[in-house]
Amino acid sequence: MEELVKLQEVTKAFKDFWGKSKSLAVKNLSLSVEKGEIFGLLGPNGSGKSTTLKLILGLLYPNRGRIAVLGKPPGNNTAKQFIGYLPEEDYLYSYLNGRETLDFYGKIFNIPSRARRERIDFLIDLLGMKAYQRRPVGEYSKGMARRIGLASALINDPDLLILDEPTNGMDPIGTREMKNLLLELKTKGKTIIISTHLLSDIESICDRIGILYQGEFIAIDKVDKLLLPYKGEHHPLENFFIDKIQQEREKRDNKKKLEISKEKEETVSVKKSDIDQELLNKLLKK
Amino acid sequence: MNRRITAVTLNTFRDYFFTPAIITLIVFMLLIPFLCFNMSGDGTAEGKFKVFVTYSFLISSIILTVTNISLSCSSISGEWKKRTLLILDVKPIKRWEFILGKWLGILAINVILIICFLLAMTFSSILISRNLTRNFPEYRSIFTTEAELFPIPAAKSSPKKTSDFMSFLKMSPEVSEGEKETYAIPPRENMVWNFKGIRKSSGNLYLSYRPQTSGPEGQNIAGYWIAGNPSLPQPFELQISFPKDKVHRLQLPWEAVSVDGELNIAYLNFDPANMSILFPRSDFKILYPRGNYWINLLRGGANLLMLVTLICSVGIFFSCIVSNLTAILSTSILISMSYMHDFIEIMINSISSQIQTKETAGIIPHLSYPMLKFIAFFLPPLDKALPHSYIGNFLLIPSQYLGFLFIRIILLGALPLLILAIIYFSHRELGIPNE
Repeated sequence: MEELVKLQEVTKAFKDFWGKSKSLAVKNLSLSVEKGEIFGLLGPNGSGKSTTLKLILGLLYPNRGRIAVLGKPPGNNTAKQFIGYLPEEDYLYSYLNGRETLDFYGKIFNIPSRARRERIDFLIDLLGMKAYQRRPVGEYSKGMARRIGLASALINDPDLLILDEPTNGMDPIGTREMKNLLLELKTKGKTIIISTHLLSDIESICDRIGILYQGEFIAIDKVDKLLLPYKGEHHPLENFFIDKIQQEREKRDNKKKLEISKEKEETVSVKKSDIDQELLNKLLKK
Repeated sequence: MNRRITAVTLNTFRDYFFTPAIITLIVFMLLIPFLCFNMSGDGTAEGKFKVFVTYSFLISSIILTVTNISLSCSSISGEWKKRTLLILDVKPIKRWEFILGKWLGILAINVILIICFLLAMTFSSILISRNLTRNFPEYRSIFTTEAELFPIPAAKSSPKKTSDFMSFLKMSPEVSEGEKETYAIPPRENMVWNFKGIRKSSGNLYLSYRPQTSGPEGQNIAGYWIAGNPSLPQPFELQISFPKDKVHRLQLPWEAVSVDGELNIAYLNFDPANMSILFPRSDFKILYPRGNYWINLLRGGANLLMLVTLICSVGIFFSCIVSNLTAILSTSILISMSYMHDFIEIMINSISSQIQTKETAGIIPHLSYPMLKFIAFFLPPLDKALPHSYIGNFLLIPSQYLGFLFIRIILLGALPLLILAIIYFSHRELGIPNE
């Protein structure tokens, strides 16, 4: 299978103004996403999901490691032609209406005017935005803005779709529609990387999932394989996720405690030996 | 043009043009010439012209330059603040296309501001021309034509009734008195003047004169003016009283002028105080507009100002281009520098790991490491780059200076000379004789 996205031991640290490391967002991360696959990037808040996506898109540069998107380095203009991106927040031009927003991004992809018009009509129908297509985006509700954001990510009919919290702010109907849309895109052979912490959203649509915790994968495999021990439970992915995170947290806490106790033991033993030495000396003198 | 550049240009234009700030600015640009309207300068027509043009351009150029710098910087940093730059950075738009689009968008706003200013300048210059013709007699010569004057000696016997003047009007000149400096008319006497070469126009026909008498101040002079031509059966007559030593304009009917452009004017001194009346030759004229009044206004004043305005607008436009481009480039350089910072960080990390793991030998990595660290320190990371706009401002200072210098050279150096030259040549072109 063709690998559309490949990350090799990627590390990204955020630094302060003086160049000192502030936080390690992603640590030795390796990942490969194949063509036609829906990959779910899961993790608690601040686990490095958005940073990973930004690294793939070339919005951030890794401190270490290599990234290839569609066989090219991230940020390559030829590769960008086939990528669609929906950020976690809606960054739209508030003075444009829905249709104008799509037209603007269509022009950025250099789509000829007739094809652009047809594509805009198709997307407006697909995402059910006909009623508010002429309203300025600044007046949109969160769900509406999410839809227009998704439409602008789909304007170029991308091969690789990167979605960061796509159902954020959407009502249950919108969430269901989004799920159906993603499944439809999957049948068309599109590759999707989706980042979310709403597990129920992606349980049924993802082929593979990876759970990020403090910038590292603590689990990455096919959904069926990972959820095998939880078969028959009411929310298998949710249970698996919580268990996994708790286990990892405990593991790391224990590791920390061990390190601290080791340090303490060493200092105590030195003191004891000192005291013993003094006593010994006194005894010897006597 | 490239579709992407057009999209960014239109988007930038739309982003800024429909904001209250720009609309206020447009209104202000329209008002600037009118704000400078009442400045009188050194009291002459030329001085008023100079002051009006200089102040209008000075104020507008300062406003445009400041607006430009602010708009250009915020056009890119605004995209960063709104995070729309994140979305654009993922799309296949090259950086130069984005920057060019932004620049063209701001330039389009400039063009509209300059056009508004030009319109206001044109309108106000027309008003100023009218104002000048009213208040500055020397300026009137641009707009009016004088008829050629052939005075006829007065008849020996004074007529008793106005109808007797027909004989005077039908008289042909025997002796030319055109060289006389003053026409003196004793009480109960009369004088006839013959004007030739009058071409009919749409404006009014005036007799302009400045009467003088030895009578007391404030006392009006009374008399009869009679106008006609030999082919006219009945002359036009008007009994009038006017103050002494002031230029007086008497409107005459165009019917009094013959088809050949001939007009006879007679004055009968019926002053109740029996004073002699004197008309200085220099102030005794038949005046009528040179063609259409509005075209005259344009020819006499507005077109001169328009020419100057156009030249200065090119200057302002040039200054806008420079400041706009520098502002956009400096902001872009700032962003590029931050990207460079990330690249250098990668290099630093790779070298440091090589040194730590002793994968590499030799002095070069050991030397390049502190050097790269030093460079990285001065290149701001992306999230730190844009708030530090003082770097951008520092880069903008030379462009501002150049822009102002250019405008000052135009306004303070070339412009007054140009106005003088235009006024001088326009006088020559209109063929007004120097009195």
